[in-house]
Amino acid sequence: MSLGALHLFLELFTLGAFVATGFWARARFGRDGLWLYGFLFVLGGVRENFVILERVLYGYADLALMLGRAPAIGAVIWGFSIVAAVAATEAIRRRPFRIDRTPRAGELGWVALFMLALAGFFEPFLKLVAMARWQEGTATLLDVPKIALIGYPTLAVASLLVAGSILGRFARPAARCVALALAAIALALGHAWGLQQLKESLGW
Amino acid sequence: MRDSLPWPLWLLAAMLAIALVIEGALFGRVLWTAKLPLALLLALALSRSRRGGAMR
Repeated sequence: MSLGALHLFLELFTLGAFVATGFWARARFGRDGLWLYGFLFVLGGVRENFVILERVLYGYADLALMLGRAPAIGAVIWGFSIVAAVAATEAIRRRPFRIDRTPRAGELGWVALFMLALAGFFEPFLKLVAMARWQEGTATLLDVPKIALIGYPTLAVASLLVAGSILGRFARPAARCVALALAAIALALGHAWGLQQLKESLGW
Repeated sequence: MRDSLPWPLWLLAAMLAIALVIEGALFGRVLWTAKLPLALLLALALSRSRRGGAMR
């Protein structure tokens, strides 16, 4: 199998997983689940386009499916991963995860731990199959860029805090739409930019 | 809130299995230690979701 065919298979599988997880979010959390998923989709799309356009953190191989200037797989993997972390958290704690309020510290702790485990899985695999290209000289720990060990959990925790507070505060669809869109853009840009600044200041 | 099977976790378990096959078949080496933390968390979550019945 050529590398291009392997990449296309992984892109299609991930997109399928993203769509299936959207149906799960709708079944599990009702309309609030779709609001959260839409927020995470915009967040991922804006963030990955910023990463590519501003050449911060990492780049990608030439992939087939794009969303703007960023590969679609990069844009959707955040929503899929964060909702999977929510699913794991409520399964482990055996308590419903309320997405329409500010999450509890215990919930966020499990989400963060799950995202760290995801970073440990995704990053070495993406390097092996040559889908992601980290900046030259990026510091790693067990083949995982050190900055990813901060980036994965912080984006998940921040996005759930922001989305939860908005969904809890705004009931009208128009207000939710505006608030979630603005928050997604601000969080996406702020997180990628802040992570790059932190990476440079730490020499990672 | 409604109960539903945790599809995203099964999808992640499938991703782990696919990655194992790709690494072994195409690259000749399997990154076991990289997958261990996620595999353990998935096993914990899936076992508790199957055993449990209704959430508290």
